[in-house]
Amino acid sequence: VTLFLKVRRAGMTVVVLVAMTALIAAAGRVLVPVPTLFSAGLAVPLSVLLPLAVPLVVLWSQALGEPRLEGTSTRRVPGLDLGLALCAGLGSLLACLVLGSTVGPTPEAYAAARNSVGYLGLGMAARSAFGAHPAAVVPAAYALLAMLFGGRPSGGTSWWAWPVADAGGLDSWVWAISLAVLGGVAALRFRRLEY
Amino acid sequence: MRAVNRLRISPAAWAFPVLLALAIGYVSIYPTATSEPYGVALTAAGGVTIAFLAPVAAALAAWEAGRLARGGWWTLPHVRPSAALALDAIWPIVLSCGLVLLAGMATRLLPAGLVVPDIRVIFVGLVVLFAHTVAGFAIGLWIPPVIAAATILVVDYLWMAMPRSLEPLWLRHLTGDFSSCCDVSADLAPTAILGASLVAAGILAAGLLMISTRGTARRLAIAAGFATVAVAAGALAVRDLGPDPVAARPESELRCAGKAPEVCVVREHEARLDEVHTIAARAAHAWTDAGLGVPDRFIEAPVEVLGPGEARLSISTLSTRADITHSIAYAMLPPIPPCAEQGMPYPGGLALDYLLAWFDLSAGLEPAEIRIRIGGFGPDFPDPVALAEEVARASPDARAAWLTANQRSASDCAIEPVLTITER
Repeated sequence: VTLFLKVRRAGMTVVVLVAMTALIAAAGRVLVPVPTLFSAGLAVPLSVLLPLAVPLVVLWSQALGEPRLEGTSTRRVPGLDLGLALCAGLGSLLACLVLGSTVGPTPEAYAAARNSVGYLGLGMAARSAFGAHPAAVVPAAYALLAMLFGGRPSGGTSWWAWPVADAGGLDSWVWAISLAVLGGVAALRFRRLEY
Repeated sequence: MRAVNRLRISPAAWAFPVLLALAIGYVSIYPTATSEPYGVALTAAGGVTIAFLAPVAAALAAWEAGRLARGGWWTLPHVRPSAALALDAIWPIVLSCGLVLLAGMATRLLPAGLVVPDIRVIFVGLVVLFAHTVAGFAIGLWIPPVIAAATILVVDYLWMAMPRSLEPLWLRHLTGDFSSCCDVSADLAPTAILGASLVAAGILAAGLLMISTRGTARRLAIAAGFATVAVAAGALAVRDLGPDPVAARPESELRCAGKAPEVCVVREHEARLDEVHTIAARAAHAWTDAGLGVPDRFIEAPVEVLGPGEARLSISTLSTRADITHSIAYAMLPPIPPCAEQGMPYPGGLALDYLLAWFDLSAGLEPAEIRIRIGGFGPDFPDPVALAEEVARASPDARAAWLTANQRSASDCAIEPVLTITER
């Protein structure tokens, strides 16, 4: 496992997660104005986008191995990868929740906690469907689409736009956790070999 | 590679219909700065899609670069220069995103009839698109393909969108998104074109340098230096602009009439010039009789570029006589003081409406027309039109005192308005 963590640059994953949490604390409230189609105007905090670092670093680390060797390994590499992804997801979730309940910014940090889990699940599901290389684009594109089209003319957000929804609502958490479960199952059951 | 094959394998091919639908959908509901068929404004509003087209193009180019690098093609010995290879890989992206950009502009321009598109906006949009695509390709060669496309998509989007919410306000003009330009009285500021072009040229130069040379930290530092110098030069060019990239329209596009006051309208409103001048002359006569100074020139121009003795006139082809009178009256109001813009309490804001009601009335506007344009403020405040009529009936000294007091109040956050007329 030590060698596995070394190959997967687990240390870099930790560094990225710490940097992400620090950025959310420092600049999570900075608003990004979004050209919106269906609402009067939506400005989302940077903390909506910063958790994209979680799937990025996890998918990057999963692409570092040697696919042919890992494909014929007697150890279950997909299981180890899933464990590492779970650690990264839970780590970012806890870090953001602790941040939100201590120094803040509270709603932004809670939204970042939710999004880190949701983005990671989406990224892992996309990895199973499309392969590692385009996988990270999926959560990024989904986040931007939610920003562009997720606003409602009457205020609030559409049902599917969980990344930009208020973190106080249960629906968006259900979405994020469901995606995380979906990503985990997909990573175990439908792993693609990368060449 | 044959052009057809290149198009077939490029990610731009499948992205094209999606981007086209997004762009047309977005542009068709995006508000323009003017309701008139003004080519500059319509082209600029149609070009708003550059905010997401440039990041998408950069991400697609990064994907292409990652594909070439991953397959080992990029590191193979090659006869053609690296820049030529890059260009061969990215031209379908530039072509498809460029077509989407132009389609967005056409969506705004075509319903307005025979309107000439503004070539400067198109030029800047295409240069920005090309620069971002080249930079995306260069970055895609340097960083792992797993994270390149996604990171570029988000970071480049932030670069395009975030300056709109940042101070200083001129930062937004560096991106090449001129969608807030321009009211029919204004032209696109040449400094905005220069600033955005300089930044795009710097990004392009940095990208080409990173593509053309093998990766050393020194080259990377030089490329970053290029980009930094370009942003600094662009900032120097646009730093005097406000929130909108506007400048006065050239004198050759103005049509003027009369003297003291002279009235100048843009050529699109030339048919209304005599009517506007007649209204302005009558109003100026009334205000001079009341002892007020009247601007030498009422001109259709952005407020940022008005010279001494000039006041802003704002009309449209659909303006009624009452609209024109109200616009001339509005031009007589003192500017809102900086303290009010900084959020300090501004009781003089009330004085502005009472002054405006009097200016309207004395310029010949019917009370009913004034009431449409200036509402009341509830039972605790006098009716603006009733007070204006009272002021009109007052002695010249009392009227002059009331006007002076309220003009001072409107110009200073510390002075209360005077909402009664007192005979001396």
